[in-house]
This record gives sequence, structure tokens and C-alpha cells, in this order.
Amino acid sequence: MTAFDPSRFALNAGRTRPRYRPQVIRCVRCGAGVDVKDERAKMVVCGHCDAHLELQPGNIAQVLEGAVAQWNFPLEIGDSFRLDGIRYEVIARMAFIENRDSSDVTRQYLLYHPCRGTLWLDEYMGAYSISRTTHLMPRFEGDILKVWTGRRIETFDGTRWICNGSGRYELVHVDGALPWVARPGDKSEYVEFLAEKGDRQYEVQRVAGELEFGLGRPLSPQEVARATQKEVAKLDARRHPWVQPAFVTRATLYSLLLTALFLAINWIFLLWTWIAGKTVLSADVPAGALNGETFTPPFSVVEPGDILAIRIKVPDLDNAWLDIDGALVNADDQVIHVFSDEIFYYHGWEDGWLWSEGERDKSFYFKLPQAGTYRLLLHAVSGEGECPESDENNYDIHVRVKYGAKAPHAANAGIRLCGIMGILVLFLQGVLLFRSD
Amino acid sequence: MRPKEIQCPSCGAVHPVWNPGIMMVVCEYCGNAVYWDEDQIRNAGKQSILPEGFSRLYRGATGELSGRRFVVLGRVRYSFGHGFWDEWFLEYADGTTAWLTEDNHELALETLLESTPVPPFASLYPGARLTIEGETFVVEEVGEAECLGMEGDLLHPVLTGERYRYADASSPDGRHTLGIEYDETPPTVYKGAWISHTALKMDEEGDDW
Repeated sequence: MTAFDPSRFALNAGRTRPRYRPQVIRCVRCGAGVDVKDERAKMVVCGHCDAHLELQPGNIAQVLEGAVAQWNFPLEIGDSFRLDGIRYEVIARMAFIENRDSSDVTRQYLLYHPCRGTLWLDEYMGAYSISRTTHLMPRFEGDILKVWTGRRIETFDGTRWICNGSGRYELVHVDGALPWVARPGDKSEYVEFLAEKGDRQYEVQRVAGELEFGLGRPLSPQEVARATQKEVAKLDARRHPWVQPAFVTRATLYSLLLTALFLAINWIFLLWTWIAGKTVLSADVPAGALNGETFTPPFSVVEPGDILAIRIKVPDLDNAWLDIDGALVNADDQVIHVFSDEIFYYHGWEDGWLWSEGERDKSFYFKLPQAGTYRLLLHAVSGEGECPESDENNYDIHVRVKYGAKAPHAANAGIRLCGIMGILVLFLQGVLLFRSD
Repeated sequence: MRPKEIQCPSCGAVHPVWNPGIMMVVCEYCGNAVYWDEDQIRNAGKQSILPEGFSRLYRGATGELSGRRFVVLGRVRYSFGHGFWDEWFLEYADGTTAWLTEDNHELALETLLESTPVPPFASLYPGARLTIEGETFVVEEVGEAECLGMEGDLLHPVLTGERYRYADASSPDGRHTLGIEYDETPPTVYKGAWISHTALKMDEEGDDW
């Protein structure tokens, strides 16, 4: 047993705490002094010349030559971050992108306290979260990183989580000091979860073949502003609105179902307007005939007040335009209605993307005052490419006339209504799910 | 009672040794280590000085762990290749001792499991599952540890550069740890539990830095 001396164990009987002093190394590239705050750092980026230095006992080596892409960060190396009254310090910053899309950036800060360890502060689209490494594992057979968004899992502590997204990060920028050697181009897979209850977050990452787990929670802009003593507006690197990542909850599911219902109703409505009516004329008109004025075969309308739909289709129109002039003429050769419009269709490849503009057909609608026999009088001119003027036509057209058609206004109103409902549903979902403190 | 006193053969400084189980002392002034071997005091020579101030714990610190007063007697640091961890040696007020493992600022209190069969080292890999005393553990890391240095008073002689193979595992609920050291036959097995920040209270926390 011990040589009993209770005074050795009394409060404050111990040795005075040794002072924290960061290591100072010399950059092997420019000779500048570089502070290394965390003794576990394996890599530090020189703040003067951006050299990436690997730290080994008794040896410092440059591991990356040349310039590295620079990214704007709202927080600087050395900035304080106060959480629950404890001051952490930003000792490393990283930027990750996905799918080689430089606008899809996640910024990550390593926060350090010599006695409390490290925390990760993440920012994506202006939304912040804080997390810490955990040993808590998912109760899941198979590859957890292949879980799809919306799937529910459980961790071994009994917490249930909803997958909020997964993907593959590519490191594009790093500075400060890290406990491992990170190089731009390094990739890591991740999958993120949100707690079914509460606001906790859970993350699994596969780095160099090994799984790592993190537990965290979102931070509002106000919390980050208080922690950093910075203005909220300066915390969003890309001036994006503050949004929380969306995820599938029961509320979201109901919202989506409601949206789908409105979409279905409106598509049925639209379909009805398309199929309604009776075709009374379907005729091809050759290009040459349209150079002058030409009549279509006659057609009859039996109900006065019916809506007539005239559809002009130019099947061979290709990077060209066609101006159509038409008139509805009754059995006494009186012009009842005139119509005209430009039909154009352009398309091509640009920067690897397929684009198109315009359509090969056009429809005209009007109400017939009385029943009777009618004909269409047609004339057209057309041009290729960017040719602005022409006095001849080179395209055959197809004319279809229906009476008893439903005016497109109803269909258009339906589509607009659907859009408005979609926005309303998203807004309601936002009220339910978005946390803006 | 008075403590046993050890005089450093290198610099002459006198070190009080309070716990009779102590088998090694590293001189706090010159870094020279001495240990007891069959009642003889042997000089192990100068050891690497470990940096201080980067942890909640430090040699000579006093505090309370789960309600029990303790003093930190010593520390051993091991490398696992791409990083290191510390083993803190604690003495409680009742004279019993304990080891606190600190890896990346996470602390685990470990106790030795006697006569516990474990799989051979070659069969273990990150992600492998094993059951020890009815509890499932998932291997998180396997590798070779190398002693980087030590300080203070220690229960067993250990020298800088000593190596052994190890496997570290964690229970899937993240509460318990398992450390297997393939340094002897049979291997030494430690089971532990992660210590929450509030379970450990240091008299000097060092939160202001």
C-alpha cells in the first residue's frame, strides 16, 4: 500500500500546470517561423509561402510543390471560436467539392483546444454544423456508405437516424495544421444522417479504407456569430441564403404527396384539353403552294360558338424559321378571322451541352360565331439559320383543325395553379423544417 | 510513513517514491531513467523528454475521477506510425493504481483482464468483430507500437524504442474500449470505458490558454 500521506491528494496539492506553448518550426522553403498549435499535427501549411510541410520527429519535409487553388473562407486561421464558454481556435481549414463542381463547396474548420481536443466546424451553403469524433457505430449490415437518402438506420445506442445524403468529397484546399498529411485531390466517401428526434447529426466517412464516425449538431448563424464575434452577413462565404439541408420526414413526405396529387390533377386537366374536340381537317400543304396563297380543303362546323383549334406543324424545320399567315374563310369567301406567327426551331451542342430553342409547331385558337363550311387560306415564307428575311418558303406544313376544342387558357391556368401549389407546399415544408433561429 | 528516496545516478537529484509498486523513475531534471531489477537499481540512460501542456493531464496533476481523488504519477507515449497516444499512470488516494489511455484527447480508463483468450494478431483487421467476456467489439486499428518516451514514476520498466504489436477495438455503442498488446504470451488484454469530460475533474483544468 501507499506511504499514506493524504495531503498529496488534497485539492490543488499537485504540481502547477505546465504552460501551453505551441511548437515553432522553420519552413524548409522560405525559412519563416510557423506556429504548430497541436502537437499531434502531421502536416502544416506555411502561412507565408503556402508550402505544405510534413512533420516527422526531427524532420520537416515539403510534400507539395506549386500553387494550390485558393478559396475564400469566412474564418481565418487563428480565429477564436467560443463554444459553451470554452475558447477553441481555428488551426486548419479545408475546402471540398463534389462532382468536380467548384460551386458545390463544403468548408471545414478544425477547432483546437489543448485540453479539450478538436472539433470540426462545417459550412455548406451558409449552413454551419459542429461535430466531434465518436466511436458510436451504425447497426447496419452491408456498406453503410451506400445508404440512400431518406433511409432510416439505427446506431448501437438506440438512436434512429434518417439519411440526409451521401457522396464523395474531393479536397481542393487545405491550410493550417492537420493531424494527418492531406493533399489536394484526396477523396473521401461520406454519408450523413439527421436524428429522427432532436437536431443531432451523425456522419460516417471512409478515409483511406477506414470508417470514421462523427456526432454533431447544426449551428445557427447567430450561434456562429456569437462564437466568432463576426457579423452574420460575413459568415456566408457565398452569400447564400441560410437553409438547412432538406430531408425526408413525415411532413416532407406529406408535402411531396400533396404536390404529386396537384400535379396529377393538372396533368389530367391538360390531357383533357389536348384530346377534346373533333378533327375536321388534316392536310399536308406542300412548300411550293405556300409561296403563293393556297386554300385548304373545306371543313364543316356544326355547333356555333365552338372553339376552333388550328395547329400548323413544320416537321422538317431545322435551325430555321417559318412565318405563317392565315385566314379563316367561310363559304361566301368572307374572311372570318386572320392569324399569323413565326414558327422557329434551333438546336445544337455547346460546351458539351445539348440546347434547343423554339418548336416545330404552333396552335391558334378562336371562337366561331356560327356553324358552316370553312376553308383556310395560307401563305408562308421561311429562312435558314440567322437569315432575317426571305420571300419564299422551302418547307411543307401539316394543318390540323379541330372544333369543340378546349381553350388552352384552362390548361395554362392549371399549370400555373400547379406551380403556385408547389411553391406553397415547399414554403410550408420550409416553415416546418428550416431552422433559422 | 516516509517515501522511499531514489537518487538519480546522472544528476544526483533525489526523487521521493511514495507507492511501493513503482519499478521505474524518470528524473524530472535530466530525463535519466532508473529501474529496479531483482533488487538492483539499473540505469536506463537518458530518455526522450515528452512535451507538456497539450493535454488535460500532466505529471504531478491532482484531480478526481468518478469521485475518487488521484495524482498523476507518470506517462508513457507510444507511436502507432501515423500518430501517437499516451498512457497516463494514476495513483488513487487509497494506494491503488490505474492507467488512463489518451488518444486524440479522448480518455479511456482501462483495467487488465486476467487469462482472457484473444484471437491471434494475424487474424485481426479494422472492422473485424470479436467477443470478449460476452461483449462484442469492433477492431478499429491494428499495428505496431513503439515507445517514444516516458516521464515520472511507472509500475514497469519500459524503454524508448521498445516495440510491440497491438489491436485497438471499441464496442459498437461507443462506450467501451479493448486493447490487446501482443508483447507477451499470452497477450495482455485491457478492457476500458471512455471517460466523459465531466467524469474527470482536474484541480487545474487549463481551459484558459
